[in-house]
Amino acid sequence: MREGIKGGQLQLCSDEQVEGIHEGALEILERIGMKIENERALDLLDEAGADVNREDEIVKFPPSLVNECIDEAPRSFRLAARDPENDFMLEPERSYVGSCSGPPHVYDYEAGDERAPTREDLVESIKLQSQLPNIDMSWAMYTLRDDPMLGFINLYELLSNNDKHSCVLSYYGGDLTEKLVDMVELVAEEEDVTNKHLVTMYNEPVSPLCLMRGALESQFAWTDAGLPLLSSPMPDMGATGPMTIAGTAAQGLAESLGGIVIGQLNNPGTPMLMGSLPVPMDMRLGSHCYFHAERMFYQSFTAQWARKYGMPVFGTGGVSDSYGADYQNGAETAISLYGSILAGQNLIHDLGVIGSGYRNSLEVLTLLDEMVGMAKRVTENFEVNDDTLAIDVIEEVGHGETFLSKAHTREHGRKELFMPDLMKKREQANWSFNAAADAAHERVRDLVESADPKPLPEHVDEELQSIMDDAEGMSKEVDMV
Amino acid sequence: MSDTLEELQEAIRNFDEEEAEAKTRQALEEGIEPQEAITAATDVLRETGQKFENGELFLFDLVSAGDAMNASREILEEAIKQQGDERESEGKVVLGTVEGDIHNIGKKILGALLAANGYEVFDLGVEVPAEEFVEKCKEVDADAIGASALLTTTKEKQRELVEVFEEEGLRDDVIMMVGGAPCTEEWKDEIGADLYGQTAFDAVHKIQDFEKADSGA
Repeated sequence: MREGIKGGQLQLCSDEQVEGIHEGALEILERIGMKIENERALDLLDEAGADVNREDEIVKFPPSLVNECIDEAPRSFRLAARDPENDFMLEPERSYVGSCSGPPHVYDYEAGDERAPTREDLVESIKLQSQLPNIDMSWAMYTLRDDPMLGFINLYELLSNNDKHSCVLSYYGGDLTEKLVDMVELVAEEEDVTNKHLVTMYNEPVSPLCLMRGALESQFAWTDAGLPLLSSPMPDMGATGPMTIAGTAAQGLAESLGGIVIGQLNNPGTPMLMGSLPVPMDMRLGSHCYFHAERMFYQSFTAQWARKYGMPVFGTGGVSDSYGADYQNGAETAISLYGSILAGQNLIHDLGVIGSGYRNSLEVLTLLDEMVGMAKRVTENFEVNDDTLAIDVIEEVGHGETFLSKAHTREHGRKELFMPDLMKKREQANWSFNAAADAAHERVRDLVESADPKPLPEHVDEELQSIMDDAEGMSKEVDMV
Repeated sequence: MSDTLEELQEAIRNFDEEEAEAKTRQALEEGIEPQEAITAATDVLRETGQKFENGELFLFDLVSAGDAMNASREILEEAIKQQGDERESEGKVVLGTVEGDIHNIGKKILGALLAANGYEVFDLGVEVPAEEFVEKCKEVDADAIGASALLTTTKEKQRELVEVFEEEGLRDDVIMMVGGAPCTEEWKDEIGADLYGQTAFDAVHKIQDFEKADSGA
């Protein structure tokens, strides 16, 4: 089992703030409601006592219903991997980290520029994640933007090249998502795994306050099978959410809970994560800000909410709006990574996503893998006892002498301090402006080349291919989300 | 300039739609030429656009001023039409998000920026079928269209749009511009559109350059 990181040391919000935003979310759901474009969801909500307007597809949720569904959702669950050593428990105050799908461009480190991703890039990104020691889950890190089969290719390559837990975005409506479920269930049945929770799906309500037809179909297909699903919107402060932190936090929570209520009514106890990733609109450029100083409030609020109400929370960290591995990138990725871990978000994604989501970078991800190592060291904390206080050693050394030759120094010298390998201390002569990123680039090449994923049995691979062939025929008929 | 027109300008500067509408009607009642009023209103929007480019104003200011301007513009354009005249502008641009796609924000920003640069903007909203683009272009004798798509699948509708404009014999008369997250310069070339705007600013600059090059040729 992967142990993750013990987070939750930093609570920026008071209990009153958390409670106030929760009450605000309940009021939004009760007074304003959500637009829900799906007959099956409307039927479920109607039966459960929500106020359903069939004509304009607006549903108003009684607070008691929302609270019951939060209670119904499991507080913790086990996410599985093809190698059960890589399973992990999502539970309060434990954080697990990974990258994300979505960016339409590869950050080509050698060219210092971006380019369109290929399927080979996807496979490389997956192999790298399976090799990085502190990364807990894998994603297909780019969007094959002209290929309608992208969701299938992502899942196929993840199942084939990765022995960690996988995460995918929801791209399709119901029929095609059922095919994806078939692929996951097939591998779960044929491989020696702990449970079938091999893949988590990321489903996104559209802000403000909409759950779209296709996204709900895909949520139903995934949760019918009891596979883990996260419901997490991205309200743009000032554009698709209000300009205030409290307002956007309440709206984002309401949107996430809308998806969770439907998931729990459909299949009580099915594993789900709440979440919200507010991104302010930059009011000079009209673009998303993946990093902003106030991200820490949302990281803290969602983690505190999740602990109080008992659900795992999706998190965001290791992101930057800078387009390359420069100073801004280092600062923004570090602050947002530490913010998410110290807040205690549980499934932290987006490590390595740069350029406001336009690019994904294997080098930045690799540098962040090392930063996660540092965070692990810090959150493990340090011990205070007779041995670590070392009063006897201090006495022995006395005034003005050195500890270098003491046994105590040798005993603790390899474990007391984290030893970075990429962002390491270099002699001045060996230092260069890009030394750490250059080292990360070399590490990426080494890890990708030395990756040796356990192949799927031939008949499983054939069956996966045949499911994909069926899906390809269908994809011409079916709308994507 | 008359007091009423100055008050109209002030209303737009203050993002006050109701006041802008009231002052517009008052100006017409006072016998002010609608073309003069629209020029006065456009001047303020242009000034807003400049302040935005300088960083003095933000996007929400620009969009709010654009909304106040629209309240006035609709009344004045109607009055100009009744006189049997046409509004003078930098050009007429029809905007819309293609069929099957509900994304609105990027297009709204583009509309505000175009208006701030003196263009006459006709925003058809979201989920706009190709026929509606055609109809509006014919109705207003548009110089350009901007078709937005945010999804990998809906961007195919941009290709269809170019085809429909070909069939309708409108292709050579209208600058066709595409935008949205899945679009690229290559995509624009592949479907035979004229312009791709990566951002709203990019789109405005490209349309200005395109017109200049066009009129120079």
